[in-house]
Amino acid sequence: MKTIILNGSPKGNVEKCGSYLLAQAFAKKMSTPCEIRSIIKENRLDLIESIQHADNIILIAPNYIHSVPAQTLDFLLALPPATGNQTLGFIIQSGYPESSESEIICRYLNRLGERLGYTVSGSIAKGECAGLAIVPERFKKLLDEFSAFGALFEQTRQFDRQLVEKFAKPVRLSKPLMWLLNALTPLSDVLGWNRIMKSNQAYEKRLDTPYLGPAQVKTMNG
Amino acid sequence: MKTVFIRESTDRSLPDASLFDLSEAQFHPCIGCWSCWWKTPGVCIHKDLEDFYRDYVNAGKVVFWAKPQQGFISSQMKSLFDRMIPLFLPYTTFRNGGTYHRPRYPRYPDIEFYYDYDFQDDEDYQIFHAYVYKVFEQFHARRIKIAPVSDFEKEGVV
Repeated sequence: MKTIILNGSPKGNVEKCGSYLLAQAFAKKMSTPCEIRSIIKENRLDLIESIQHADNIILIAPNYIHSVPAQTLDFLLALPPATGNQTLGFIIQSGYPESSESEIICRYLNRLGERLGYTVSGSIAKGECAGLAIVPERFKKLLDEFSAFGALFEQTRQFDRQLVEKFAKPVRLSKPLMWLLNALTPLSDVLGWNRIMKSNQAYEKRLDTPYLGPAQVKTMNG
Repeated sequence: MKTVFIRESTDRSLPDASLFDLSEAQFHPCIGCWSCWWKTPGVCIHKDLEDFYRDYVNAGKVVFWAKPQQGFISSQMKSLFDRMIPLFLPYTTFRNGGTYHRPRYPRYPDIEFYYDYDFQDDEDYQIFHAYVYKVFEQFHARRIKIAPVSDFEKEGVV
């Protein structure tokens, strides 16, 4: 069984790409070598030819505006129908804590796959991946789970339902969790975004409104 | 405040003033570098959508005339959405069970999103509506209308 993983990130197959790290982890314990290909960095026709010779196709992509990046969407909308008994699965990772931010695109991709005649192996919406490419050492547990997930997939050609549900938690933020996250926001801003902006000499401009017209400026100033 | 029109199909004439013709526009896709958040706040590394950004954040209403593909927004429309990240802050707030990026600008336009498409079934229709609503809710639009083009024709150009 030949499996091909499509990395749908604009960053391509580089170590600073969270989707690529997840793809590597997914393939790590598979007995048959699994190709990881870049949708955006590679020639589209070559990639489609490879897809047509694969048994299993898995897309791993970041969440851009509650969907996949535009170039990856362009590729998916041009995906040819299945050739024979091919499976197609989707993994959408995001920095949001909750997975519901990717729920709609997973519903859409499942239908697209079915419509093209693929057996849809499942879809995963995985949140809490912010920093995966920056500090991957903090994500060892997740990467190990993805390796086990990939090995299981190779045997069944389906995404394990229990793991899909586990990866999706939390689907939505509970009231206590929202309260906690909002309470911690000033601290997380200082330790996160503000620190990065200061290192880039951009902190003083963090609230800039470069395209604001005179009428709106007047509104802001009362 | 003015109304901005964003047209994806060319078979419809719309007012030339404040018209962004997505069917002819050429601009770079978002590459996920986050420069617009942590290096040059509010400003994308690509300088090919500055007129659009200025029109969008200063409009009272933005009217989209979309041409969906396979039951979803086109990749060109998606590319425009991806490139709108500079209009919002990286900082987040949490409500309604979800995460929202905080606004960079004092207000954002109302949205009328008309589409020229016949959905195969109700689930496709629901997915499309849910997606477009989700996007503009995240983009802090106070009023969001999503409807087929026939509604636009009934009401006429504002």
